Amino acid sequence: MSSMHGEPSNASATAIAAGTATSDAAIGLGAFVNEHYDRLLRLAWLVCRDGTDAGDAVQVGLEQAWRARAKLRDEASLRPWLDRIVVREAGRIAKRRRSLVARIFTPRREVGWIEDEPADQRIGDRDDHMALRAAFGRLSPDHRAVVSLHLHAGYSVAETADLVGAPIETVRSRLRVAKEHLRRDLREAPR
Amino acid sequence: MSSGTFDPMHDDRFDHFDGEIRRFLDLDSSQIDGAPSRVDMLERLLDVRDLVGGRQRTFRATPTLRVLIAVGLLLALLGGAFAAGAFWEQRSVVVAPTPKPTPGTLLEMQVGGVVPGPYWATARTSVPFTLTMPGGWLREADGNVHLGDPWASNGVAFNSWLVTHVYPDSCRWQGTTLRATGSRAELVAALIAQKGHAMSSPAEVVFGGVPATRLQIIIPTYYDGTGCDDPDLRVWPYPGGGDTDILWVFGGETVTVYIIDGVIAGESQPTAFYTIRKVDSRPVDVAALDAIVESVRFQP
Repeated sequence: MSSMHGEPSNASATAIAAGTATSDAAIGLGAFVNEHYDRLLRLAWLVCRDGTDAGDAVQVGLEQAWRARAKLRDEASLRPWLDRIVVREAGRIAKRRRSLVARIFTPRREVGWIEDEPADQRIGDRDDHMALRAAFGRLSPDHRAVVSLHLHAGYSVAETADLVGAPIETVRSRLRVAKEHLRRDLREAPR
Repeated sequence: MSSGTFDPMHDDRFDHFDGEIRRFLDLDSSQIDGAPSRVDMLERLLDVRDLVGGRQRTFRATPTLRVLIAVGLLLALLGGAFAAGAFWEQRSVVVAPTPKPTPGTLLEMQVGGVVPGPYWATARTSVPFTLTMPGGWLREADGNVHLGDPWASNGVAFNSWLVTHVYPDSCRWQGTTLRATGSRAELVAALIAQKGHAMSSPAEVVFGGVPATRLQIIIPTYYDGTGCDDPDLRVWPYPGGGDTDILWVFGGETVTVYIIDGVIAGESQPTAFYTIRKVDSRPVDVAALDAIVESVRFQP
């Protein structure tokens, strides 16, 4: 588990002190990472279910966004644009992980966040939470993406459709099917 | 269930359930195992060439990348052996004029953007073949080559698969795989009998210069997998029957399958080649996909 306690400005300062980076740009990049990183990491992890892969997906998004920031017309368009890149990259990585090589040599790392979660954030009791966690992991990356974008990130169905590049009806169908599966798996989970 | 706040057995209100899912998804990002910290991420970005100027990128191979590099080197060695005629036992086929890729141009070594041109392909097939890749295509580590966004409803893709088992029912697949090793005819029969989706009648064709059977799976755009074991349909599992990799098919996809006979280590082993078109695939992309299929030639 990586520590999250450091501030980006420290790393920026390191780069600046070394005299190898443009100070304004490094400071700006630090602020940029600070603003978007946690949200993007959560979103990427929900889709690909692997911390390392989620970090890779977020890096791709941040790199592209930073390079293109001058071309964006307004700040409001940045967030969905970033989310789109990261979610798609996380989904691409998740699908790539189906391959034998990736599965054998880089076994999927399970996330242990449930143990440290405050009691008031738990769903029902621990069994329910575990069952929902397992059920969510059984959904395909496509289904996890629409559930995450719609129910976690708060995008409308139409916005979610735009972000994942699928027709609105397809997104509605994926949401309905995903929720049916989550409900069914919860119902059938051993008590 | 002990909390009394949610009982999916009796609660039909999706809004209530949505709220429960939202709470479940609202995890603390600082507790995601294996994820880089914000500081790590900033360091990574500062290492990227030209992102903020000045600082040179250092090469950091991820575990996956290290494996890919190792596999690539191994494939290069195998490719050399293959080119010398020392490795593969092959089936006699009628060979049409083919492009002349060098032994080093193994498609398996391409991950990410594929440089256009002729390639050898020796993995995921019981008969090595050559093909010509047009520009703009990407190849995933699982062998899938595609054009466009695989998430969108307009991508196209091509791949091959050593099929040893199929699911008798692509919708109700759980706990059931049917062994289909043996011959092209046996695999075709298993796929025709597969339930859960519509399948075209088999057509005898020539694919890559050899006899093949063509089948087509067409999934409606708004396919509803509510009653299925998984939201998406499963056609066949990884060779041997495991779920390491699976051919899923999704709503709005047309999957055209070409099955040929082949031999691996003296045992008969058919190979399935398949193309995927989607409901919004552009004609120009479909034409590029067809050109790849046309370029396939099996090598003696």
